Amino acid sequence: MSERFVSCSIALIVAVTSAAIVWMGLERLSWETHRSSLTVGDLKLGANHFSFETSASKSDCFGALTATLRDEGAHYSITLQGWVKLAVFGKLWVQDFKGQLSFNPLAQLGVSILEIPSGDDTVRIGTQNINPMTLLVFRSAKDSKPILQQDIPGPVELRREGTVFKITAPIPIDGGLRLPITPMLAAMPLRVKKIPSAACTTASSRPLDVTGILSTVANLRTRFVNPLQLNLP
Amino acid sequence: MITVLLRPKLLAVRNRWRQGGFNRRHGQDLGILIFASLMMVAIYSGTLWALAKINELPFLVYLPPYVPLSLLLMLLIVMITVSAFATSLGSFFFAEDIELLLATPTPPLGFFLSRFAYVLLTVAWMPFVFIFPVLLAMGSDSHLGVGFLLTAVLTLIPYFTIPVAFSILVATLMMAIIDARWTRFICLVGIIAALAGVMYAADVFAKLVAERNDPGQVLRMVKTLSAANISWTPYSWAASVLSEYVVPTGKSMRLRWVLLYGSAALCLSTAYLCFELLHSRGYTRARSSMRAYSWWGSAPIRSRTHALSPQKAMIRKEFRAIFRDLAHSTQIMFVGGICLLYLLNIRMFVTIDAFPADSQYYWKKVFFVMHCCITAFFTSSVCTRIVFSSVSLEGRQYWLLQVAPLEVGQILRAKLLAWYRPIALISAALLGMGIYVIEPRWETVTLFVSMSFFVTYGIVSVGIGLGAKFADFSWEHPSQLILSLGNLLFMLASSALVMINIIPLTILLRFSLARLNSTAEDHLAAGILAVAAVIILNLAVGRYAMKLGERGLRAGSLT
Repeated sequence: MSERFVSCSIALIVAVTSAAIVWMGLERLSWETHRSSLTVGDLKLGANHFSFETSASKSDCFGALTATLRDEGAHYSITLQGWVKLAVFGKLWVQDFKGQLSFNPLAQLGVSILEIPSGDDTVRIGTQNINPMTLLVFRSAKDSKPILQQDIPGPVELRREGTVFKITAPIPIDGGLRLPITPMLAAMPLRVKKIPSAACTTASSRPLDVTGILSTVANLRTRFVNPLQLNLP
Repeated sequence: MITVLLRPKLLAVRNRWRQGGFNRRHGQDLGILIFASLMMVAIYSGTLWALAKINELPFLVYLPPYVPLSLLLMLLIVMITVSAFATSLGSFFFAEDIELLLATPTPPLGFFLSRFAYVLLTVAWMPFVFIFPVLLAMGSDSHLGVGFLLTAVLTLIPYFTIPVAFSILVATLMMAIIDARWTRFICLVGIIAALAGVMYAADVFAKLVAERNDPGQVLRMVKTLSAANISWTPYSWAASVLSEYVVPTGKSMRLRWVLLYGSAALCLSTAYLCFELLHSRGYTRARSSMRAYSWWGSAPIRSRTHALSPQKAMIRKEFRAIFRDLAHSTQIMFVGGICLLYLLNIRMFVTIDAFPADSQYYWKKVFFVMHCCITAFFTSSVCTRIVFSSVSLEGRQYWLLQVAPLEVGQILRAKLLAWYRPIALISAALLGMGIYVIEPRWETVTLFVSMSFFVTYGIVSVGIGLGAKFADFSWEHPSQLILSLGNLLFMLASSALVMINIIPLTILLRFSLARLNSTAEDHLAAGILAVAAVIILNLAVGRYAMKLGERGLRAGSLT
């Protein structure tokens, strides 16, 4: 065999092997990119209506959300307004909530707040800072000191794809949140569906039974339920 | 074998320094090295300052190191690919020693690897000078040890290898497939494509002006700035590895290293296979039809009723010398393509209208400085590839000019005139379009466009002057001129000139913006002074550079 043939053969083997390695690497990279971020999307400027459903049927919605995306010039904001109808230990319970998300000029989530009225008071859950974000939970509207403060990975970003906007968050899909209720949530056929108008109403909706989840949560009383002092039945 | 083939090049470098004690050439080289070191220190300090500024605002804006790094590495990889393509053409097909080497029992693999190493070293050292202080500053800012620099070196080896191997592959394919008789047709297609691109850019520009108030401009800017974040590109992998070392986010460094080294091996092996199969065919074509590559030269010679004036003759010769060289003409196409790409992305400046009224003034200044720098660096880039090498490009036929009835000064002025006019027009158009998007008033556009003619004069004069001062007529192929020490000095000098010009131009913008308010009179004196500063600075620098070049060329001619 000539030296030339040997060098050509080695080059061919290297080319084929490295092409296969690069191909597999790119597949892995694509999987890693998909796994490492959660995308919530198809928002348009103005009001966007969503329904929370337990199955494919529209009549089975158990809550609704209106997310209003606004272009404020140098930045964007999203106003949230919604409700969920729950069944807890056999009793019906409609919980309203509202919130606000503000993005900086680089379209990164700067501040967010979610307010859940509870009796005469309001539980507030919010985030501040960009990366890492700081998750804050206040059990009362009057409280200045949070009952829970924890750093979570950021940044949450608003991305534009044509006329549609999407929110991406660096949340690992394969169980970054390993809580005792995670398997229970995963077993429920829950989904958020975009609807053309506020078609889901409290009258037409069917409640979501969360008794099982709350029983599990109740086991975490010292950490979560007691400090929040939710007026649960 | 590789070291044997590289030895003559290394000996040439060594002998350059050993020749007869400390002479004028040593002084020049030392001066260039000191100037380059100072620029590296400036880049290091500038990066440290920028990082400190970014770190001051962690609660308002989060800018991961990945974003600026991928942008920087993307620009560098484009620059390396363009330079490597020209150098590959030279060292694989047009170098004078190829015929001799092919006649010796040199194994093709040894020849290929030695040429690859030569192209890699000549192409990579200049970007390394720019990127090394940036990485050093990042490491220093985040208190990272030697491990970071080691990681950077291990990452940059495949990062540099990929574009060089890819360029060799393209150059070999091009030389083997494209017949010299097609060159004129290809140039024609290139010109038609460029015209179509310009028309498309004009259409985009017109739409841009129409949709100034369209919502979503801020996100468009973010999308434009994030254009470099394409996850399947080598520069993105390199940026991810370096960024991961600075701010860990859980991304796999090992996966990106595998991709980098795998791609480098793939490019290199494919380039070698292509070389084995097609080099002899390409080399034969290159040798047999070198004259035919002149697409202007192959035009029929028309009879003239009158002789051209010496200056016009020089200008005509100048264009022919550049366009007959395949490496130079393809580089012009590449640079033109990059310019067109920038024009298409100029839309990001429209976001200025989306910012709150109280911060618009600040953002206008930021965008203005950004646009001026990009335009000036585009001008410098064209000058680096064409203007600086125009004197040296005369090559061993320089004696023809020496015996012509022309003074050295006249030759240089003719070269200046030849290149100043097209470059000034393109730069003025580029600057004017950006300024119109940032501040859509014709008086502002006219003012800055007229200033751009002086800045371009300064840059082109420095190119001609330094090109004459560091003229090298003993090249084997014109691509060697682009990667010389003198060219680095020109790049650094023109960058310094651009930075100095930015100061009076920013003052002028303040004057221009103040005209909207009642405070115009306060800024009038500053505005007049800024105009005078730009004019005097560029004329003086240009004149000095031309004198320096004239003296250098005269002194060089005597020796």
